[in-house]
Amino acid sequence: MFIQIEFQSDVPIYEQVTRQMIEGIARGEMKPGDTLPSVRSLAADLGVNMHTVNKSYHELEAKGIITIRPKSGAIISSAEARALSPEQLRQIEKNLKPVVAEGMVLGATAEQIEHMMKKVFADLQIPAEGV
Amino acid sequence: MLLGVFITIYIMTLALQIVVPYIVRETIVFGVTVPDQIIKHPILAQLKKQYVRFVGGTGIVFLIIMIISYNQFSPSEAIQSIVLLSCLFSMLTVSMALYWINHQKVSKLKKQEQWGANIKQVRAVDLTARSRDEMLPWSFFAVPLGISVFLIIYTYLHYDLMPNDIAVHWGPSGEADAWRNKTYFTAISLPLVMLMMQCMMWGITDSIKRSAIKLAVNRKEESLEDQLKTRKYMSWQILLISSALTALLTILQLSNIYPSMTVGYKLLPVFILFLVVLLGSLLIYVVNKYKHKVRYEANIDSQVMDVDEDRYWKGGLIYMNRQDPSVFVEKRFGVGWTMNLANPRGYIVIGLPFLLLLLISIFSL
Repeated sequence: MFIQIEFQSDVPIYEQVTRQMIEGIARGEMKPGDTLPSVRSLAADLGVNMHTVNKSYHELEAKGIITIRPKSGAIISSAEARALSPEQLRQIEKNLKPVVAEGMVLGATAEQIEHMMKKVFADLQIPAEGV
Repeated sequence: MLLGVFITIYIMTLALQIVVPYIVRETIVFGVTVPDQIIKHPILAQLKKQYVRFVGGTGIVFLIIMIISYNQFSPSEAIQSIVLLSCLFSMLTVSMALYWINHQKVSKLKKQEQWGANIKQVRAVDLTARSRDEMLPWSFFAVPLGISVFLIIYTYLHYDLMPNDIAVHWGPSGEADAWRNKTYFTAISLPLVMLMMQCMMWGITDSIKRSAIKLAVNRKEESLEDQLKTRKYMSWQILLISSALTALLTILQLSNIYPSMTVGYKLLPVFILFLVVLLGSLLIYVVNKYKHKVRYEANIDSQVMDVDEDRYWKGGLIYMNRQDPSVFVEKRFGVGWTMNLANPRGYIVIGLPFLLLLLISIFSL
């Protein structure tokens, strides 16, 4: 699977890497048990500092999406291993809050936002073209 | 003999100079990044054609001058060598000057017409690319190193057998033309030189392996294919050169221990074979590079382009980028790879063996 980094974006590079990897896993382009490239080689391929990639991998690990093993590298956790905990659910809600609040302030109704959620969900379930 | 070898080298060099604009990525024209969206700009094709005609034309003129003046100075080999070398360098100077003029022209045009001003620059990476990388593992490069070590031990075991004068330099016809007194150091200077060169080649391969697999964002699949093939061939090529060098220097070292090997022109075929392997592998690399090159039929209609790295390339030739962890990057104008001069790792991997090589040469040759 491909990821694309935009250097001039307001979103920090490590954040772009994290988001795109999560999206790739959600789409099923990367499956549980797949190994991510080593920090060193991904940093080389992206042309960025190793710390940037490291930060992204540790964030993914903290979220429970990958496990980092000293010798074999970063592996995507299985669905059972990343079973949703109440703690994770709270975190997602917290992240969602400012987005929903922004929608409310701008006048979006609960139905509209609900519809949006469903649309995003459906979009991610359609595999990306060419994969 | 000298003329024959030289003409071969000259023609190969000239041919390389001529094809360079057509084997480098199409999105890099005379060392300037051109967005895929305007890749078919008519001026670009025109400049490339002009370059080929001019360099080809002057190259042939210098070749004729070379052959005529070689015969003019036939008694003096020293003057002949100078003539041959100056023709080669004149040709290279002309092509470099023309490159430079075109580099300036394209840069100016890019600024004037604001190429890529409103296009988003992105860098694409395939997460599975590394698992498909087919570069040779390091163990292949350790074999020649083992031979050098063995040769050093073998030399010391047969130290008494060696004559008191040790050949340290060979002429183009394969006959030794410079000698040094036998000491424990000069006896093994040749295998030591060999060892350093092998280390350098190992270091180069290892650094290329750690360097970026760069994709063209609008042609991801094809450019990945090109990158993987280039890397694979490159590692084979370096191994081939390392092996050929090992074979050549091993034979020379053995001829130091057993001087009867050099009688007559016995070593001449070895030198010729070495030259053929060297030039042949370069030719194969160029052909492969051309075959797998990503080709553009027309301007690409896309919202994104590759990251414009022009500011890190001094004159489009020298690469200095602190942010880039890669030690080696493919040349923008030329065949092969060049070092990221802002990366200290490169100085250790390439610079250190090279320095030792120089020291050995100074003290023993």
